[in-house]
Amino acid sequence: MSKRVWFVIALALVLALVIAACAPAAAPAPAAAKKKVGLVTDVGGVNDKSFNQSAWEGTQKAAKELGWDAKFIESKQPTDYEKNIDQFATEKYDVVVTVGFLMGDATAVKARQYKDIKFAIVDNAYFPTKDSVACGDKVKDCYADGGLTNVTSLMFQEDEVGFLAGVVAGGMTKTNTVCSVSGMEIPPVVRFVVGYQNGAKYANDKVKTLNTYIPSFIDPAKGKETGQSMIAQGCDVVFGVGGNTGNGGLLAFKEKNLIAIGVDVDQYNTYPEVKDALVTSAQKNVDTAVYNFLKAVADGSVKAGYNTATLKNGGIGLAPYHDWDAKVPAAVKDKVKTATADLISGKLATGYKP
Amino acid sequence: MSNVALKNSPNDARSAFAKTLDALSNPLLAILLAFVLGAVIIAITSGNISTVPVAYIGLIEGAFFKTRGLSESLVATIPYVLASLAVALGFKAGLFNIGVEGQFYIGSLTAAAVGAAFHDLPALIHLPLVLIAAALGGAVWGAIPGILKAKTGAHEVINTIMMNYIAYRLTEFLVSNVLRDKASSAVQTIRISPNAELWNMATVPARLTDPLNAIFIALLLAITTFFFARWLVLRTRVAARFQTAAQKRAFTTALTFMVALAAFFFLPLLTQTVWPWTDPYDRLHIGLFLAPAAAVSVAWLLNKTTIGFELRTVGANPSAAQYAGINIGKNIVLAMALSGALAGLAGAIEVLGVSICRCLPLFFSAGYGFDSIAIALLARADAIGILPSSFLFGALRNGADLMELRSGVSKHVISLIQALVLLFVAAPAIVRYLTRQKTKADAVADVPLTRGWGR
Amino acid sequence: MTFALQAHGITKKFPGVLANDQVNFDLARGEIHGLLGENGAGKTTLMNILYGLYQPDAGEILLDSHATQITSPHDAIQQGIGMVHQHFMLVPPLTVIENIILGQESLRGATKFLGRLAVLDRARAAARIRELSHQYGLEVDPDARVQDLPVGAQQRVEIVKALYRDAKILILDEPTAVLTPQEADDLFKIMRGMIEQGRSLIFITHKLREMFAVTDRVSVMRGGKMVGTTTPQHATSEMLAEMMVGRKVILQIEKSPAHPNATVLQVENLQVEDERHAQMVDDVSFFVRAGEILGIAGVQGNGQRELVEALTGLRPVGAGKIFVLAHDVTHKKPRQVIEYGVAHVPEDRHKHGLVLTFPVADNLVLCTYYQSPFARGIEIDAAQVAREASKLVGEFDIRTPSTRTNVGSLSGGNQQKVIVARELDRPVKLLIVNQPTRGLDVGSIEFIHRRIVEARDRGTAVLLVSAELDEILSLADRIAVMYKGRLLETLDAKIATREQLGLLMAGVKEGAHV
Repeated sequence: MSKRVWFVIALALVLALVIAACAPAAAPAPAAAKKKVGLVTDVGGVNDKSFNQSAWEGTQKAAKELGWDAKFIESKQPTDYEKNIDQFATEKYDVVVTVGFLMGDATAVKARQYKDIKFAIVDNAYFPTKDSVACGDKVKDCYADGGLTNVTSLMFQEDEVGFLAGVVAGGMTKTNTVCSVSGMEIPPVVRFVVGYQNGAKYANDKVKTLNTYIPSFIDPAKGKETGQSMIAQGCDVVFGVGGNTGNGGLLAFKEKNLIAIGVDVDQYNTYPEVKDALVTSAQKNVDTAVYNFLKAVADGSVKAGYNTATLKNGGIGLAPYHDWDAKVPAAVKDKVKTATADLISGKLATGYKP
Repeated sequence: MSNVALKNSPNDARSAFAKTLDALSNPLLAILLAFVLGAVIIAITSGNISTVPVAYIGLIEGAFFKTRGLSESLVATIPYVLASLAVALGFKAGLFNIGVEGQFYIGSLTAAAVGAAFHDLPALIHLPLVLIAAALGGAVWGAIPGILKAKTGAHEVINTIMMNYIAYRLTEFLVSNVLRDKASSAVQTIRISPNAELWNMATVPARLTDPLNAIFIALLLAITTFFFARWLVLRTRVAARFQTAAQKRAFTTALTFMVALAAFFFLPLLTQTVWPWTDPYDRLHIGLFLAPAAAVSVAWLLNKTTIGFELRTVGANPSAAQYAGINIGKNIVLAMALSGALAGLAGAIEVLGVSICRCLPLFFSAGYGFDSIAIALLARADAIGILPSSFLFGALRNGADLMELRSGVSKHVISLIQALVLLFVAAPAIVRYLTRQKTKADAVADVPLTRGWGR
Repeated sequence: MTFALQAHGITKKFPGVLANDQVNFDLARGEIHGLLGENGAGKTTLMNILYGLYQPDAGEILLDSHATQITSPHDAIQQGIGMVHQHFMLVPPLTVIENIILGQESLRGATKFLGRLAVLDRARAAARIRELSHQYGLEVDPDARVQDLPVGAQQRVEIVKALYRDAKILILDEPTAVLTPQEADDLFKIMRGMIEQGRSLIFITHKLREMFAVTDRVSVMRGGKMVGTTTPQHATSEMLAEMMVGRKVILQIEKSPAHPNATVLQVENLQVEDERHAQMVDDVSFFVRAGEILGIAGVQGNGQRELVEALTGLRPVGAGKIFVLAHDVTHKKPRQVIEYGVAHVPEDRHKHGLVLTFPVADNLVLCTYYQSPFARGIEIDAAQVAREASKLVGEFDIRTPSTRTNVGSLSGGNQQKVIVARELDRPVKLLIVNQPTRGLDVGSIEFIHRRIVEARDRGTAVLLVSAELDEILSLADRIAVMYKGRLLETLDAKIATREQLGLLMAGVKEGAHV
């Protein structure tokens, strides 16, 4: 190999150093240090048309109002969670929001390591559990005496809104069969599904329910396939509970001009491809929850522990009927209203038991 | 035996250093060019040339200099090394194993199952057992397309891809049903026994206080020393100091025992006092030593044994292999099994050393098996060359986050740079053209990268 | 003399190699100029420069006494230079017409405006091809597919292709390598015909005999330099060989009469099929005794390859028996056959004989790597392999920079020496050599021939398969001719004549009794 090649390499390295030296790397931090908030998404990423996206929107909204810096890191795989949280921590971020039940362990470990950082985790609450990395069974309360004094869990009463979705489904079905295409069998998903099935039965005592858990949130092909097999079994209303996987289920029903119910956000807006079939969505307002959490951090009122969004406090709810407004019978709408009132007042239970 | 009496030809007379430089210069140029092009892309997409240094400094700092940066790069490197060794071994035998990802899954599945199956075995037994089981799992998964190819001529590319899907679904099924940890609300397997874990570096001093663990490490060191000493007396100038085979044997044995004893008695104490890894949040684990050991073993197997000779002959020229009386079918199956075993080990390492629950959750790997194809190509399927190429990929993968955080440049740019590196390595003519290097007539060192379709 | 082409002071350097060093070469109008030289002498480089594939570093080229530059093969064709390569540049699935007009498509006038979509004017092309074939006695069927044609006919297609492009100067690179002696003689007639039409030919070959048969002048190259030019009238074979090699060469191997001993190889009613289940070896029986060379002559593709592969275990035997000494090896695996003491120098050294990406040393132990002393357990003793390699490199005069050099970067002759060294170094009972000197230069041929005769004299039974009649005639003690899968006749080498064998190779059995 010629010396020339090595000369080129050496030259390039020197150039790199020069560029590095000229870089504004040494730029001093602004005098009044802006607070920084980082969001770690799950493998779905910030454009998942669902709750990762919603969480990021809430973060951005709050950051804008508060004049904070907001950044996100998308996880590629479960072993990335810890590393990604650490990335924000070592970059001296003040607040870290982690999105998703699956990040529970990583968030707990990192929260113990970085006591000065405020953490929020969407969809995961900590309870003492044997052999748990997050919170062992030696303590009474994970937050107070389990060392998670800087963690707020943003929880949602998915079974309530799932129940309402079930009421709509039970009222709209002509075949007396309603179904759900679900993601991984983790508590938030299970709550949605149980609520949905009981809601459908509440609205229509002849109804039959079908459900399949698909162990993924990012597999629309599998979701669609499952949706199609449910159509074959006579189902005419589907509830897609599982990010992109659930979206596949919605698509299958849209293609057959049947009825679909979205999840997490108002999918009429985020997933317009299926809006013709979308009667409503079972919304959990992750954006609002994250927004409220960040506001609370700003004004110092934030507390460790879990906040649960319910129908009562407006953190969850059915999305508008949009194009279907005229097609949903008044009787069904009334039943939804009654159920909502009864769930809030406690007269009615969703039937979900943890 | 007088091994030193070999006549050196003029070619051998060139220093090993010069040769290494030669071998390195092309990949290094490729990397350099890729970064230069990457800089142009960053500048154009961000519309601001000053983003380039911010991005690259973030990348370098994230990969090496920030707290735990280097460790995280190494954590990513370890599975890369094993997975790309799997690909490279296939390449050497003329096989394109695209099934590394699937074998990785089977390896992690086996490791999770065997790791959680026992709770009282000492690490001395349990850890090797888990690793062997994972290697076996991967080997079986790899051998199936191998057998299909040997018996029916079915192309391994198609069959390994199909085996990938079977592996994904099988893992999903077993993790969410049979092996599922019912106590956890997450969909994941039962936590493995602490004795099956690949020790976190920071926990090594504590682990060594258990005499069984000290024996374990002493044994591992003894085995390593044995091979090292054997290499010394057989292949290096040290050989000249010994007259008889008996003397060599005595030297090897003595050295092995001394190291074993010293390790057993002094290592626990030593690690209590001096140990560079004290950060309990550092995820680096003892797989750090396993990866280079695997690379050296594969290099030895391929280049110094009759098994490797046969594998390489089948890969380089199956007709000549057949002519020389080598059983092609047997070697295809063997190559796929060994390749699968390495991929399985990669999967096991992630479960035993990195996974936060020390268990197997769903969706475990984000394409280690596919990145490893690129790494193996970058290393031109050279087992030792895989160590630096894996480190490059590991460091890029790890540094990308800080780069994105600091500069707002999407970390997908890193995939682009990786692709460019590969393009330039795969097409050395482009690099030569861009750097005006002259072609050497005798530089025909083609790596046989898989034979074409339809064979 | 008026010159069709002159090249002055052509110099071409490749890194580390001076391929052409101040080479002067000229071609008179209407002559056949033979070009001789060993492999690596620079003939091919010179021709590639004339055909525009390389640009010379120095020197000038004159066409019809006008200085010119030939920038590409396309340019060469434009300037009236055609080349028939040793390996045909034809597209097998296309017809003869399509191959010939490829790149020179004449289009039907009315559709020309369609550009690339215009309709080919086949009729006109076919007419012109027929005319050319007729004129030069180049029989080709314009509508046949090239893949269905025998090699001789494919070569005629190549020549017609060059003529179709109106080549005034035609370079023929080893055109006789694939032909029977009779076919070669036909080719020479065609070449003469072209001269009469005012064309000029450069004719490259290894075979000295052909130089005398057809050329007007002969130039010899060695080591990148032009050694000299002479005419066949003034030269002798020995003289040309010496010019090529740079030393005295013994062209006719001296060998003592054979002393045959016990039968080593016995083949009984052997039948072998090829991949497409065509019967390639049809009821063949013969024997080879220790200390004799049985030559099997025949044009390539008459079942020799299948026969040899069946004997060495590389190809399944359909019916019949093969015995090596007392052992039945009919359905044995290659390794078992090797271990019975059979050595095999294969026909295709790149396909079977060598692993081109492996070093010389590894190729030298390709069949014995697993045995002591090269292997201990599963470990290969690199020192022993290196020692063996150094020994064989010396003994067999293999010209290589080192034993770790990849065998692919050696010249053909040295590659073949690697194979011969490897196969002869073992204690072999039976040596099967298939086309052992194809494409080699005179020096290497002499060397390899000597080794084969030495092996015979040591008491090895030798089966020599070759398409080169000269080789068979100079080496074999008995000669069998293979035609369409059958062994036609086995003759005593002392009484066999070239003509007799040539006729047998063409399948004319009565010829044997002439």
